[in-house]
Amino acid sequence: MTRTNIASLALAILFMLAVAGSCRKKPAPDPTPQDSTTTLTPDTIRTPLYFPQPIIPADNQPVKEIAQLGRMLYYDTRLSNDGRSCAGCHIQSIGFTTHSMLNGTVVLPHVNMAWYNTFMWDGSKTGTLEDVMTFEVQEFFATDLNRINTDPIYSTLFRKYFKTNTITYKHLAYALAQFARTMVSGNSRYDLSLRGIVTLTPDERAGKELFFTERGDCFHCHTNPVMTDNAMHNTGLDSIYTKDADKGYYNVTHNTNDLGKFRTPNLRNVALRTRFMHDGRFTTLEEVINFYDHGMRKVSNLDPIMLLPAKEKGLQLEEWEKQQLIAFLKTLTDTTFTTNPAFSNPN
Amino acid sequence: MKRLQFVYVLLVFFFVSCKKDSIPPIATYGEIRIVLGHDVDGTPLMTDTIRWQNQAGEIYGIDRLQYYLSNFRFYNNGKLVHTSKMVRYIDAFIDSTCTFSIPLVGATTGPCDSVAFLLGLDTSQNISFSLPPTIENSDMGWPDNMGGGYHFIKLEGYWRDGSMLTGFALHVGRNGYAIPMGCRCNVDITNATTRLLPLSMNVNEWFRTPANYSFATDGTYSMNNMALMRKLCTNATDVFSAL
Repeated sequence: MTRTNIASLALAILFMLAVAGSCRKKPAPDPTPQDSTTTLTPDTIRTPLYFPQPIIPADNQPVKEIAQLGRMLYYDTRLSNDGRSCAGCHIQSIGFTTHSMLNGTVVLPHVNMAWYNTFMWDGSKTGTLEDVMTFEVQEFFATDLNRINTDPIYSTLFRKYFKTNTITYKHLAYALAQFARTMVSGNSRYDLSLRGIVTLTPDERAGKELFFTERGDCFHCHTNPVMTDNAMHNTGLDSIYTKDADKGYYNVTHNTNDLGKFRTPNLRNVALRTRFMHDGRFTTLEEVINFYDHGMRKVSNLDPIMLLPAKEKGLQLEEWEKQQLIAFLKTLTDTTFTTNPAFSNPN
Repeated sequence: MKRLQFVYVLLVFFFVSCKKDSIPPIATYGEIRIVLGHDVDGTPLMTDTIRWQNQAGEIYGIDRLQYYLSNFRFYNNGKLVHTSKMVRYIDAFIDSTCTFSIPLVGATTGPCDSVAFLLGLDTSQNISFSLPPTIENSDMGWPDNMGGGYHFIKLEGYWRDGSMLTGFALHVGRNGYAIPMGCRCNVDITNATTRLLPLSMNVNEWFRTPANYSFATDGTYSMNNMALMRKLCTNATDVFSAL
């Protein structure tokens, strides 16, 4: 090898090293100084294939550890200042609601909230789960952040997962939202029948027929498969609104066209409940169906869907049809949801 | 010398393999951006008001107007220029749903003088759970017990029935009830260019021509009432016009 060749070779190698050095992707973010060993496990919201895509904000993508943290918070009475926790009013065994009333109002169940964009009976909260959970900790519970920040377990976990030394309402809300988003009910008898795993009884099938046709016309508001359309409807509960609580969405908009409108409640696990409608005026499914059968009041803003031809006074079902409808509603009970250890008290 | 050649080959390899972060390819195709408006005989449609009058003389308001557009075809002098199987969900009261683009991949460049599309879905698309699993598509589902697929349109509101307000829910769905639409337009298809195509639906056209639709005499609930759905479909073929 000549001296020239050696020089060329050396030059070429130097050039290659320079090129290799300059040929980098974007620098990786600095590892967190606090916990460089923390690894977060990306997760997905597990749903049956026929469920729509859940609503997940880009800045709070599912992470197993954060959902677990949310679960701890959900069951922690320290979230409030008076011994209440989310789980105190949202009891798993009855589908994450309660038989008790809260300030004269039925507690809406926490189920399939991954698909919600409106919340509360009167629709007073809209947006994402993160938004409503922010309301819950900041206003409803008025969580004492100092108490949470000084808790060694929470401060450690939030530092690990959110890379923060100061826990804020947003952090609490994001963790709670992650847990709430995992609370999916999609293994009821009805779901299993959709997946061809079980066959509904003749009465259940007949009830399903009533539910999903104009005979019962439940499906327009209790949309398949989430079982709520997120919308506000006046279903003719009242014609005179003496109590503010009965005015519903009007309390939000102050528009008289919204008097008596309420958010469609989710029917998942409805047979486990003992209070129905916003004020719990009905205590059995029979009473609810009798209301839609012949108890609706004709008001000017009665939902257009409620005005079926020749059924202006109600569904006018036969007694056996009512029982069939109830048989179908009972197929929406999902015991894998109400007993799932992943949703239970972790403490 | 062979060693030197090897080094040069290596150098070339380095240059070739050293890519920056991938840059998405620049689209070379154009697109037609459709901007939908909704009006009642020229007045922009508003919700929460009972102020419109149909051909039957009835005063009404619209609270819900949700529908699908699909199967777009663009023509010039009767010759097909471009087709798109895109399905678009529209909520007349949610602006973000009313503007969308149709990519013109593989389209012949040149002028278009008319556009045709379906309000609703053709039979190959009107199959339960076949559309992307969005909440909107889920809410538009037409129960399997009633034939399956999707609602093509939900047109709901209230009308003044004497001294009372009464609701109406005009829903259309099921195979055979997708409504063919067409109107004149004037857009040029060119590569890598976005062309606007403003379209407007005149809601009153649902209630006239060729037959007047009256809430009082025809009815207020059309779902699965084949005669009413057919009447609405027949009236609706001219609800859209290009602006």
